[in-house]
Amino acid sequence: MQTDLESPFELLEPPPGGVERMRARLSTPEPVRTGFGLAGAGVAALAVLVALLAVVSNERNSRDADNAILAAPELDRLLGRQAQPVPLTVERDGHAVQTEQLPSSDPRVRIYRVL
Amino acid sequence: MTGVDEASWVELYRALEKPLYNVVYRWLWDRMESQDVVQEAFLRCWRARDRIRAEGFKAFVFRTALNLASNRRRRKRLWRLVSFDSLPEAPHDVGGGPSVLSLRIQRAVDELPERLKRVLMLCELAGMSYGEVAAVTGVKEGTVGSRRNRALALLRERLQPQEVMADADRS
Repeated sequence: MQTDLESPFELLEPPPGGVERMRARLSTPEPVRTGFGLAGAGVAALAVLVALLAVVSNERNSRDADNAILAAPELDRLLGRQAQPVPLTVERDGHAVQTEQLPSSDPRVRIYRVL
Repeated sequence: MTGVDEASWVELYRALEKPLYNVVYRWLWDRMESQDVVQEAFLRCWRARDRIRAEGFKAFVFRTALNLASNRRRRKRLWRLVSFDSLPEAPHDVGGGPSVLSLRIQRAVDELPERLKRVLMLCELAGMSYGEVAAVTGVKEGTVGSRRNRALALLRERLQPQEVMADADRS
């Protein structure tokens, strides 16, 4: 609803009943800002979820790393395990070449021939 | 303003409603919306009354109302842009639109830069001294004076050519 102006600085009367409306609005309890509250709770929940995922992921990575270390053949003797033969890979000029195991008189020594 | 009661607050509203309404109306050009903004400004000040000093209240409430009006106007313009609304800027009364003169005044006032418009409207419609306007706008009193003069010159310039042309048509 617009009022016609005769000049840019013409003083207009406000719509009637403003004081009563103001009084009524003052008496109304202040609305709770649920919008901000919900947004804040959402952000907090997301942060907790991210933190939990990070912890679980770190724990899993750490466990995988521990398992890999424990499975390392270098630890066989230290841990009193029977050494498992590790498949041999040989490369020549960046390409894998085939090998052949030869008989050895010493069980701790393995001899291979490059084919 | 700790300790001020609702009755005193309503009296403050009664005293400042008209100047505030007139200033805000030059941003929104809608009677009910302007009054709503004035009341919203008073409500916000009421909620923050413990942090407002009595001597700074008038500046605070005017600044709050101006910011609310400016934000609401910006939102309306943006919404109009997004919705490709081709309706004129200001809503019309059911019984007929505003007069040509009124629309020209509105356009001229709307085209004023915000910082000049604030100073001019506070001086002319709220009857504030340069010192009071400086407290609302946060600029020096000298700047208030120069902005007011600049705003008046721009307004005169934008309203004059058509009047001259209208006079020429009549003669």
